[in-house]
Amino acid sequence: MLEWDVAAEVYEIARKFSDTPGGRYKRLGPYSGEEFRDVLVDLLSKNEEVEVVLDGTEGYGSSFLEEAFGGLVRLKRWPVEELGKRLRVVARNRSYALYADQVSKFIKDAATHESG
Amino acid sequence: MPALRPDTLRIEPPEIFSLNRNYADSVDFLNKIREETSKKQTRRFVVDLQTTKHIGPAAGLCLVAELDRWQRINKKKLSPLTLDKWDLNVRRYLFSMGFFQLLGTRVPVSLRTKGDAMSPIWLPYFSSTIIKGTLPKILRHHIERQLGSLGDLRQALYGPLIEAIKNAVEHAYPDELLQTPDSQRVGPRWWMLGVAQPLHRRIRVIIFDQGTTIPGSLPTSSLWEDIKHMVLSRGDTDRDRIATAVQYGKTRTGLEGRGKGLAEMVGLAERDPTNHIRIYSRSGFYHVVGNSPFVSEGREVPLSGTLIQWDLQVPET
Repeated sequence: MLEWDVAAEVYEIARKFSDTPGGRYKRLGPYSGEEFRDVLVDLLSKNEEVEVVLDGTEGYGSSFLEEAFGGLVRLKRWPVEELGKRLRVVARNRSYALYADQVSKFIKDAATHESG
Repeated sequence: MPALRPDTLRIEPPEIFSLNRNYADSVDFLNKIREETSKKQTRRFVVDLQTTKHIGPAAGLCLVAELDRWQRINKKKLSPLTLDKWDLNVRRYLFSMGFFQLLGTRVPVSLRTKGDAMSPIWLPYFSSTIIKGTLPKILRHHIERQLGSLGDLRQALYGPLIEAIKNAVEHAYPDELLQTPDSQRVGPRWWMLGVAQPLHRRIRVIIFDQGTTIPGSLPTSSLWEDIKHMVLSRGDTDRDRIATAVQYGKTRTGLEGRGKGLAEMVGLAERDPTNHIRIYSRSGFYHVVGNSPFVSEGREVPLSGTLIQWDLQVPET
């Protein structure tokens, strides 16, 4: 049996979504965490692996990141373990590393809360 | 000034119109404008800026917000009557922040003056009723035009600004506050101003909303159950409510990150020992310098809204 390396779909937020991410909810303004969560759902539905690149934006508010990634866990569409294998959130530049750390925390906290 | 009708109410700002330097008189003046705006039948009134010899950016932004509110509710433009008699610096600062554009007044070229190299530069203010990341980005461009690259501060600034705007739009204006036709004309509005001091590589960024305030909104927020014991044990004054909400956010990683926004805003001050964050909300005042412990105070004259002000050192790049 042949095993195929599945190339991850690389999604750069700054280029494909917005370089000015907004707040938490769609109803409060454009490029919200909720809107980006929908993008993540779409990407994960169509691709085996997804790599989200955080670099290049003006920055992120914690509400955006929490709603996008913590909200993805709360959707319960995929088990957290599966998300851990299929979704990579990366910071190529050191100055974006803190946002990658925040994303990990938000995913973990959402998972803890959902299971608790 | 042209002769006024006898029933005209004259509202004068203090000589030192500044939240930092003359809080009580400055806020009292702002509250008088709000009071007139809120009346069902507004009297004819004049805001006389002739007497003001100094204006601070926070006070300037609040003045813009109050007059913006009045104009939206009354669907009319206000106009300055004695522009030539205003203090040069007051007129210059207001001009550069876009005050006269708000009024729709063309300032004659002869009345436009330039500051010296020591003077802070007030950048054009922004206002909206939604969370719009493009506006902090434009502000950043304006600042960088004066100071050069912000370096790491660029990203560090964006998150707290978005969170402050988010708090204004999402939490400061509960539905009941937006029920009246007047409120609907203004909406869940916020105003933002940046000031650059190229000589010292410092910036000031201020965000103001006219909402229900942090102490006013806490009891109906999702945080209240978690923090009310802490608040009550501290005394349940406005200053205690702000301090507790910040403290709660700092220790919070859990459910939906609620309450983290305020802590994120305060965290920006901790990047440099000379940075400041000041939060004025209703009768509470919260102040942090660098990593020092916070100072919170009560104010006798309540501010009708929440104002957050950062004073930040821009790193050499």
